[in-house]
Amino acid sequence: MRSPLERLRTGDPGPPDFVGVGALGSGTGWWHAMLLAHPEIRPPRARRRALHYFDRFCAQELTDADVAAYHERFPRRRGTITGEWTGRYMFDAWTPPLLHRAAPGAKLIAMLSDPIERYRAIFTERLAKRAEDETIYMADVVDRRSYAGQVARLRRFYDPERILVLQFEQCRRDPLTQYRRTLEFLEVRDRDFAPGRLRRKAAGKPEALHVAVLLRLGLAEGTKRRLSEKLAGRPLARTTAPLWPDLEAALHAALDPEAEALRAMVPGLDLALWPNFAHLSAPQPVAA
Amino acid sequence: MAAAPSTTGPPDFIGVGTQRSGTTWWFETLLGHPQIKPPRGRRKEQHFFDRFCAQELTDADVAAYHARFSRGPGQIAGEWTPRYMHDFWTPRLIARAAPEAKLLIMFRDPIERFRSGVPHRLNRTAGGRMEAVTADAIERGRYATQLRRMLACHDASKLLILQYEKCVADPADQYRRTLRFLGVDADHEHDGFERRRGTTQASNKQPLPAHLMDGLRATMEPEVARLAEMTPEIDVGLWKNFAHLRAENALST
Repeated sequence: MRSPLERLRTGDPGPPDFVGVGALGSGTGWWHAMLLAHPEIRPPRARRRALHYFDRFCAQELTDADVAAYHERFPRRRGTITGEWTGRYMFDAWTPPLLHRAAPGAKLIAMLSDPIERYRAIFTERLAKRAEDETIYMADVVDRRSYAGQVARLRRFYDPERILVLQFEQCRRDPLTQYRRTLEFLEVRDRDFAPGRLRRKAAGKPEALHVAVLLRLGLAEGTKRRLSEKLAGRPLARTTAPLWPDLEAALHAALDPEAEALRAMVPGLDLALWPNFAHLSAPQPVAA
Repeated sequence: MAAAPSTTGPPDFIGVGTQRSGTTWWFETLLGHPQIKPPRGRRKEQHFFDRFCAQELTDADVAAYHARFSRGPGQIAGEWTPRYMHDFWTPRLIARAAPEAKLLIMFRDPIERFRSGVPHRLNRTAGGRMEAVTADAIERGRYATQLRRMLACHDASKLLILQYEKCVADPADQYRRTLRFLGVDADHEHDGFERRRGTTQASNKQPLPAHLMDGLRATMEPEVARLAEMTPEIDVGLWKNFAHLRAENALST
């Protein structure tokens, strides 16, 4: 139970104003951190980004007490909004109905990235981690990157107007426009604000000195990456294991129809920005 | 009298789906036919292609796969691995390793399949995180998506779609249908269709939380509707969780 003093300091709890629902490994940590730099946007209690609150309800009922406990995580003072971002919410079939019950007025944000680039990164990670003779499976990665079905499912529980689909590559290329677009969607008052790190990136300024130094240090790869990404304020490029023709063809057979269905649902989606799907981005005939 | 020479080579048939849908029962039933032979070691599920998401399939691998199937004159041989259809890399590899093979798919009400699949996986996955297991079981029920991937590299005429509920209701009829498709003597009298099941989960089935049912329906209704469009042999009315879709179709036509 929070003390009246704490309540006075942090404000009253309630359902989150926004929830980031996807997608895993698509720059969501970066974008949420950029949002939290805005003076009107507050983090959940304890500053955790991804609450994973609904994960366990795959096998149990959500009670009113659970809903109240979720709301407790989101104190906010007058004039501010608050929200979390858990990348797997969009993938877990049981979560959209729960989210709609616990936060029916929330706005949802999904940041999506090139599904095959992400597949390569995860494949590389799993290969590096696997024990000798251990079999690795990759079916789950394609399941998780089948975005069209997931967005369609969200829309069965939330009005499409309440769902913002961002494209990671667009945010990286033109962060200020996409940041403003996100602020407009969230309806904050100050929409001219942008964090210094985004302005620096947009102005094409070089890596800050401390980031360059870290990259040269012999820190463990993962730690170095996380630190560097935190300091750079954006995800860094990764090296990936090569794929082979059979696998590439199978990935396209599975994911091309998903990408096309997604574009039909999300008109702003620019497949030309996804290197593995640019072939689908031939100019569409414009109706006269 | 000398034994007839047996030959090895690519399987004549491969069952590619789906898990928890009575495939062990149906495979065992087929093995009761004198012309149908199991793979070496009598193992129904070869899981041969599983590992080829992490490495390329070589010609030597293909030859090793062929070596698992031997049959005498007038006989056919095959296997049934339910995850082949779910593994996105496998349909192409089957087209390469066994281009002439006939493919079998058994579909069952995907929500009933889910109810059977979750306890099945939890029993077998040491330390498996509940949400990962649940999400995987849901994904395996996206039938239309998986069938579309199969059809991207296999001709529809090579595919037999079976419906578990029809096989239970009239096994003799569906047995003959399967035999005709496989090109063996369809007049063979089976000595009874007692359920030689794999592992039953009937006692582990729990009622599902209402929100989980909502999420399952939201995921699977579009898939079932598409499946019904793609495969007229599926009778959605036999799937109690989706029978309302058939009523809607009837109204709209």
